[in-house]
Amino acid sequence: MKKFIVILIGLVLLLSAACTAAPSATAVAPKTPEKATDPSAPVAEPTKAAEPAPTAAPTEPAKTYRDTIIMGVASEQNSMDPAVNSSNNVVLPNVYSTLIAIDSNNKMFPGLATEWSVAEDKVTWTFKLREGVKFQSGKAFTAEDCVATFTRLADTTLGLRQSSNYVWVKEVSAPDPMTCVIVSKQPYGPVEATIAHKSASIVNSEYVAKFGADFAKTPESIDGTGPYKVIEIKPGENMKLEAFDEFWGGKPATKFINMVLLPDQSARAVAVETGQVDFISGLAPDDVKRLNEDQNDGVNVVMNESNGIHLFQFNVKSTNAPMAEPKVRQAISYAINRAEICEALYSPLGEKPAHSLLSPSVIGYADMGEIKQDYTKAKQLLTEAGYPDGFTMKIMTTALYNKGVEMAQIIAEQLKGANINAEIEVVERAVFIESLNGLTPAEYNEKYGWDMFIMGAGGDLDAHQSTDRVFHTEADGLNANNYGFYSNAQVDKLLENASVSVDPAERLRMYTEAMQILIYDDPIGVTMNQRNNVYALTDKVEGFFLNAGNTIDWAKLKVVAGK
Amino acid sequence: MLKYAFKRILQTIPMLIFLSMIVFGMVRLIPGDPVKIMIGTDVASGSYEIEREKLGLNDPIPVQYVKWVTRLFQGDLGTSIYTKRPVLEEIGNRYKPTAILALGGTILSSIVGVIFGILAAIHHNKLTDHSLMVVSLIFVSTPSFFSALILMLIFTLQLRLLPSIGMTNWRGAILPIVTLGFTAVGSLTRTTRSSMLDVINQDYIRTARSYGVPEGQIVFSDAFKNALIPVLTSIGLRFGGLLSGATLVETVFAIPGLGRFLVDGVGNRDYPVVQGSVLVMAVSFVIVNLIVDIMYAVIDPRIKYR
Repeated sequence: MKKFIVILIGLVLLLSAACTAAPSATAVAPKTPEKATDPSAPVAEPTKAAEPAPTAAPTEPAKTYRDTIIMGVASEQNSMDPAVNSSNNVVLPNVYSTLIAIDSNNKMFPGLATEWSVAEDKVTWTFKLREGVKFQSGKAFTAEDCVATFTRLADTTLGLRQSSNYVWVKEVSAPDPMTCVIVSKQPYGPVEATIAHKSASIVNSEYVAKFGADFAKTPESIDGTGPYKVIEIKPGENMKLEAFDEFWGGKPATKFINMVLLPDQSARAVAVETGQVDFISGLAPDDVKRLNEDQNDGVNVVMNESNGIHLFQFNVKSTNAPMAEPKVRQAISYAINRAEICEALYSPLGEKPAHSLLSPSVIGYADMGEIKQDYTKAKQLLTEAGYPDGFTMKIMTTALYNKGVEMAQIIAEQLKGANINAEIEVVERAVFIESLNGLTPAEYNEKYGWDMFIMGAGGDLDAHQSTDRVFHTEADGLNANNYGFYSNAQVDKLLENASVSVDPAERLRMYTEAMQILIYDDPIGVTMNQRNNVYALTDKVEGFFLNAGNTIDWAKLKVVAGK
Repeated sequence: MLKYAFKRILQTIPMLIFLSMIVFGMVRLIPGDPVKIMIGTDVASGSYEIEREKLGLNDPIPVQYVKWVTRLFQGDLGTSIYTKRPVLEEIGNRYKPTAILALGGTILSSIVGVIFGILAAIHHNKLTDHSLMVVSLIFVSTPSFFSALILMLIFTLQLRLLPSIGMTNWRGAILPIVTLGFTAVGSLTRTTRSSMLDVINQDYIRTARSYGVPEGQIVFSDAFKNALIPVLTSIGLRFGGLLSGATLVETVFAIPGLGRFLVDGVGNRDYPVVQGSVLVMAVSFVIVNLIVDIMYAVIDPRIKYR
């Protein structure tokens, strides 16, 4: 009984410790200085021969490895079809391969293409394909598969979710079985970054023809050239994958991967602490704090900078608050203390104020500096704009973003310092999505009336992918992509020119100029925290490499057997 | 008896029709568009209209309802808008874990609740009674996701006795069932207690006592049997609560059950999923309560069904 009471008291203390997200004075570093990224190790090494079998380590004391790795994930993949999938990058890059691969430092290197070049005309891209690559079904990889993949992606009549990223493709051809030629409609800067994106994963041309609408719906209709093949999908429960021994990058180290769906954040943390799973993604700041404080739990937290940020975007066509006035938007930006918010909410995750709308890992990134809170400046800007006594505005947020609700609450408090009175509306996922879908400003203002709303930015390898669709003026004036009806002729011009330039230095200059306008001069929103990918893994896991795109190289993962 | 059961089943049909209409209409009234959620924001607007037409969402709601019911009679619950998988098949896969949870929770809470209730009644207004009432109050007022996490912290994290994910074997079923059972113990304790108190104060119990019948025999064979009917009714009604209450428990313990399927369905505004799961849950509830009704006759021979 006594023991039980002691445990109970301990639990209550533990819970209260976990529940208070008290800002800690020092940034919490992972307790073992484990680095998620290994500069020398690309995500998949093309030249390296097959690794020795897990058990064959004659010089070292006998260390055996388990034949299955269990990972706990927060959400399921919404499709295993690369042309449809819009989930995270955890699974697809390990089932399929792309022509151009991305290493753990976000640098591009040869994948299924051994070399590639663009012709003098700046529109004809030629890819020399890797010889001897096999699909998991046993079929040999040829240029036919390349043609099928890109023709399918570029066909907008199929209604594939990723097609909008391939409208630049004019034609795809195979002059010989080991060469693929892609011609763009006009010079296009981010060709390589697009080809390296998971949506450009090469699919088996025969499967596309054979399965049609049922392509990649079941394990039998999925076929890639990656290190693991899907053997079982149980919706709502798990997905099992088996090593593909003839993988072109070498035999994977572990035979099976079992991806278990664990929707509850705290339950996920408990699962890794008790060794029921080997590693988990998507941790709550409070759980990270607890895992870091317990030195003997056998769990390490690893994190690296992702290629996404959080921001609060303005509805520049608001009729409720003076959001059309750039000085008002600047004032809001200066009234917010980003460092304080990051410290209070994200310090266990190591997240800091973002220095741009892009992340440092993105091609086209430049450090635009951190905007510090300055109430004097904010008030002065409001006076200049004609609002010396401030105004009232409405902020929309959602718990879909990590600490999204808490963030809006702190922002509302901070805005009071500039005499801005902000009301918060918390919405669920379905409402959030519906509000972003092809409304006119009048419809938006009438139905929702939000002046500022939470949003993510980035998530892709090239600045073009993260800016053009969402920051460029929308021709039809609806908010399907440009969510806050933002429009700036200068930004439009810079984004257009950067997309048709194939000179990296020139593109960087143009994106930097665009960011200056988007963040400072005519703000599209308030940049918040630069996000990190965060994982917790048991100390038995070896070979864990992660890149900014949140891709883990499964082929190298191993888990030591035994207690 | 069979005739009675048949009649009862027939009686539930209008209720089910009414329920299906309400669910059908309500899920369409809440804001949010399933097609937009499915295709996302970055698709050419043309495919949105094509998809809506394909799913028949542009028809008037009564027309959609008639189509749905027609297909229902052909054994087709429709296809999930979000995952494109047949709803009946998905429900088939997810029904078992939820049924195990709800039945396990019912059995556990019935045993514990009845024992607590009897103890409280025979020690009426004594320390045992008062402390059991406090305990039952705690059980009633603790949200299941909270007790789930507490149990997980004790038995999985601290004592390392039981697994906390999935329900692949009997050990994995313990924590979810206990969590779910907890929520029902409180009300059953209270029902049993008051029902027992009613009976214990009746004349025939006093007569039995005056004849010197042993107290144990009075409580269990004379009093309890007569106090059982309201308890049984309460158990039957709680089953519905456990069926829907399983949702949170399923989320915390990562069990792919019907409750989570329904909640995901609501989140995605996946109309066929919501309609199908609610219907299956309602039918289960009706069947369990029918069994309860039939058991009345077994317990009390005076009750006869015609």
